[in-house]
Amino acid sequence: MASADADAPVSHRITDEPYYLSIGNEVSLFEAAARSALPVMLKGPTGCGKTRFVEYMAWRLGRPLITVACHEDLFASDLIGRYLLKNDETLWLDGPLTQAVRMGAICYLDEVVEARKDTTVVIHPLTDNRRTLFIDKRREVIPATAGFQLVISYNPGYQSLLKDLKQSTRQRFVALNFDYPAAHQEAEIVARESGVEPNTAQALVRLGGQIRNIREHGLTEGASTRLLIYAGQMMTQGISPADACRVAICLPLSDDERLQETLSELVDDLF
Amino acid sequence: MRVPIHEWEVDLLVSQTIAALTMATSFGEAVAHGFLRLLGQVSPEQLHGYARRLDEVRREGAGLGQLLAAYLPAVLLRHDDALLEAFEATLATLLSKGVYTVKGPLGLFVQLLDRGEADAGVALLDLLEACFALPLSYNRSIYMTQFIPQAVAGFDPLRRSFQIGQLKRVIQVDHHLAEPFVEGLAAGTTLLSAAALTAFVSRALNRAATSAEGAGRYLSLAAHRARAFCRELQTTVPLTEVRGQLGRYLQARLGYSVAIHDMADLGGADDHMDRPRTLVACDGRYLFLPKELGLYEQPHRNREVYTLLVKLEAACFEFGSFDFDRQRMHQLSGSPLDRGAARDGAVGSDLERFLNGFPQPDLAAGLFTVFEHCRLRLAVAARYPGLARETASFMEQAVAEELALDSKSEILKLLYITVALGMVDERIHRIAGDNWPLLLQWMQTAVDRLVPGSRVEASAALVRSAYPSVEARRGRPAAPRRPFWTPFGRRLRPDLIYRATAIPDRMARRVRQLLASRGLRVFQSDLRKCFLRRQGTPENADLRALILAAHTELNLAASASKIRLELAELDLDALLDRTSAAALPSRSMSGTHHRYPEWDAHLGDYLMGHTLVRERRLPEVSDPLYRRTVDRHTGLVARIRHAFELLKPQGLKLLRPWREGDSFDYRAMLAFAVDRKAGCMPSDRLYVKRIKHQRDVAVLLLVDLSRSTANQVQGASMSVLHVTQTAIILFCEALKIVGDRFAIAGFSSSGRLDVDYLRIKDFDDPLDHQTKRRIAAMTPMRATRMGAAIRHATRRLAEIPAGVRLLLILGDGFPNDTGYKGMRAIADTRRAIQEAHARRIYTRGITVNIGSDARLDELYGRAHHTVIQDVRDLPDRLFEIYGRLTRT
Ligand SMILES: Nc1ncnc2c1ncn2[C@@H]1O[C@H](COP(=O)(O)OP(=O)(O)OP(=O)(O)O)[C@@H](O)[C@H]1O
Ligand SMILES: [Mg+2]
Repeated sequence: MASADADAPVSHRITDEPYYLSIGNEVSLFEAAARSALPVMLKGPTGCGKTRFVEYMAWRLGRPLITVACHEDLFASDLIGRYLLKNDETLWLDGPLTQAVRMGAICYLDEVVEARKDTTVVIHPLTDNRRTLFIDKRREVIPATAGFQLVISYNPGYQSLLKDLKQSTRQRFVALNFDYPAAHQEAEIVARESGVEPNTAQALVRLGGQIRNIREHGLTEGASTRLLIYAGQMMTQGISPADACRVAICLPLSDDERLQETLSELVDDLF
Repeated sequence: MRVPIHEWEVDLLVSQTIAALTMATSFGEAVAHGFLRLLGQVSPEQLHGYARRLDEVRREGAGLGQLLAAYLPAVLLRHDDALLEAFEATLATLLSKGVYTVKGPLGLFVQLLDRGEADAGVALLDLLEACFALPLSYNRSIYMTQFIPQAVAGFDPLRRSFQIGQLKRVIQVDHHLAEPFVEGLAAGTTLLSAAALTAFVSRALNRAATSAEGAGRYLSLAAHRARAFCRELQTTVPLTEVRGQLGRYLQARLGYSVAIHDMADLGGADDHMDRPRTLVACDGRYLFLPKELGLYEQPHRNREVYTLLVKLEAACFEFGSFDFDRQRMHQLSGSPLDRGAARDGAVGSDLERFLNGFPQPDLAAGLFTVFEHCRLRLAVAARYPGLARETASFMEQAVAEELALDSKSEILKLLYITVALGMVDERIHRIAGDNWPLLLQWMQTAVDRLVPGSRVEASAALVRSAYPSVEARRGRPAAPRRPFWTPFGRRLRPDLIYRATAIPDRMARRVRQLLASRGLRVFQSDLRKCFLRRQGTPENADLRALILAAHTELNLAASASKIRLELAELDLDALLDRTSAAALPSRSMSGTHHRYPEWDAHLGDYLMGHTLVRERRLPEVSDPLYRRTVDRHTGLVARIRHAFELLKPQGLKLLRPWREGDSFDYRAMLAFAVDRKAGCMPSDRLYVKRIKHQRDVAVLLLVDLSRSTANQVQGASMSVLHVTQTAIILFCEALKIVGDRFAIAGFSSSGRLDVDYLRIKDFDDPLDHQTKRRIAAMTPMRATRMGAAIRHATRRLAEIPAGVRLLLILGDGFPNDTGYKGMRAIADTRRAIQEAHARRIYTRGITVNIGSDARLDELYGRAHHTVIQDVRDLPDRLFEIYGRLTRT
């Protein structure tokens, strides 16, 4: 029986400082949670900087980071690991969560509600004072290495009621609230990430704000910072602003034609 | 024509009146009135003619005599022999059916003449003549004497005469097609031009040869093809078609909603003289647009004009055109604070008082429009380059057309073109003559002073500096002039602004003065805006922010904590008349009664047993609304059924890997083999089990039945409640498919002890005849005490065993009842929702017919509600929301 996790620590370490513009006191809050090894839940709409924040914190704390994007076919075993057959031999392969527990990494479960219900069974003992991972296949109990921290993200308002997080899960986390940054900060982020001129970044942010004004008119969510950056990136590639906004902002947001018309009006005004 | 009155004419009046009086008093009166209308207006021959006609008609009785005495003068006054002849001919035709046919139809004819719609009058005579010459049964004739005047009176005045003409064509082919034709107008053909309507009617009448019923369906637009053809023919764009879109644009651009109204709603405040040219007006609160737009042959061009007008007016809101503030003006130019106040006894807004301080207020107002539009143009150019380009090309075209039509060089018009629109070229130079240097001077000054970021007071300051030189050019006209030309008639209208904002302005003044007495400064215009946006109920936090901002702007020291302290001592509620009225005594009631607490935000505590909810069943009415609605929306119903089929559980759910079951799970078998090999304990979960899957959802629809739901949906002849009913009916149809359990209840209230909870469908009620009749019975009632209703609904929903319990609240605005207003009502509702949440009941608010409002987030919680501006979208959106909430 061999172990396949040998190469992990290096590749999960973040060597260059990720660009992250602090919006409030989230950095010090996270640091405090990390010092006390408390699990953290990041709440907020899509594309507002949650993932980037975790990357930045991992770098800042000098810890490896393992990210898992959760989806509806994600079983507990996908997090923990499984046996593989190799030339008549069996080989145990640690899953990402197990890796993180062993190496004392930050494990980031993105959109955790999407995962199968049985994952919570795994998460619970890791997120209370036991801080252990139980691998039933190997009948092994791994205590979490110092530095291990579980971080989940959660987008309230977007979920189906049938999929909400259970209270017993929620109440194991410290929660940090994320939202779109204030206009001047968002403009700074957009300019920096996409390389567009400050003026253009401001126009993109204004567009984002205007679209967020009609969030309840059939959009599930407003335009995310991410989409604004995409539009900026398309522009730096030489695409015209109107086209860039259309493909990177308007079309991804909604399929409703009449809404699209309003969105194009807003774009046409600004560029 | 004005002719001298002779003595014999007066004698004629007297003798005729007496002759008529001997038959009936009212006849006598009619004759006297008739003569008085004619005397001095018509020739002696015409007057004799009138008398002769009266002599004749007296023989046929007072009834007809009286009608003729009243109607004939209107015809004679038009001095048109052909018209008189047509009138007599029609009268004869009508009389051939009976005197009973005269009054209604010719009464309308005379009204049309008196209103100056002679063309329509002639067309109407033609129509009557054609219709009553037909061999109609007695009942049908009677019916037609009511139907025709009623229909014609309802036609659009601008299109009345050709629509009457087409009605005549239709009736000549088959008088039973009259009703479908009129229905069709209401349903959309009214927007067609004369030629287009003729083409449309021709197609319909072609069908009449084979099937009268088919022609009827075509004319009434019930036929799909007819609708398609009508759409193809239509070039005019009605406001209703674009209003939702434009409203959403405003919401996006401004962050608050600005309602769009029909220009006709401006009523007498608008100068009629100028109406055809004025395509947009704004009073700082609402935006007014024409009911329809047909400037261009292509509908999309007309739609563009609508959009452009809205975009331009949005700038007035965005850049503060309505925020003129006397104190800021004072700050800016050091001018005396109360100029103009003395002259006018301080009525009107600050802006009006400022403008009235000039010798010619209309000139000052004109200059204000010139400079303010210049300021807006520069601000837009800086922030919205795309919009600036689009505007420029429209303006260029409008100016070119105007100059081609009329190249008089009125000074204000020239200033508008050069300063406000920024256009300077040879054309303008040529017509400007010796005004040219003046134009260039003010254009330069405006561009220098009105930099982006400047406020409306900067424009006002320019009015002051430019006024003397402009007045010197224009002189002092004796009579007030027509407003000068601008593209689309756009101008700032201080009078309208004042009318719309007088009340908040007064409130703002009171609050400002009160704050000043405590050493706190705030700008009245800021307060006014805050009152407007907050519907009169601003919060302490708003005030604090405004005061802080004002102190910063005025470079005054102020600490946030001092402001907070001072504000805490103010009784804002008393100041703004927000104190609650005493609770009303309860009426005698049937049904079961339930007491609920209410959250008092001011107290920070519950008032126990504060509300009394009476629960009863809504009585049924026999109205086939349900059936009719399903029939009318067959397409939508089919679509919804299809969508909900997808939500429906597949019947079976697979559990895997499971300890026992009907078959092996191959994935688990594989894992089993591997585990065995690896020498570790294999799992015994090797099976797949199929169980019947159930969507364990219970939903209660709680419907606001307050008075406001009787409001008409803008641009449709339906009330908000009616559309809501439609949505509910379609929703029932859909839930039937999915099989989710659901209930419907309505609520309404009048004071805290009188909250009605009306059960329309209980969870256990089948969707039967009675339920359907109760749905039809929903009607607008009283006020909205939302918290109490939610608490009761929660109680009912909590009794239902279900995995997911969902409370959908359908309303058209904010809670509001006696002693239950503003923040207090919102806070209580929010509490009630939280209480529901604590019992694992999810709430979702659906608000129709208003724009978004940040306070809706406070009411339902962000992301827990949906705004549907155009209530007609409700049916569709309801499914979308429900589908999303309960997808598995
Ligand atoms: N505060 C910030 N500092 C720097 N970049 C930011 C910040 N906020 C957002 N961004 C930018 O926005 C992009 C999207 O953010 P990110 O991927 O972290 O979103 P997210 O919240 O994780 O979204 P999702 O929920 O969809 O995963 C990032 O790639 C980053 O460029
Ligand atoms: Mg992410």
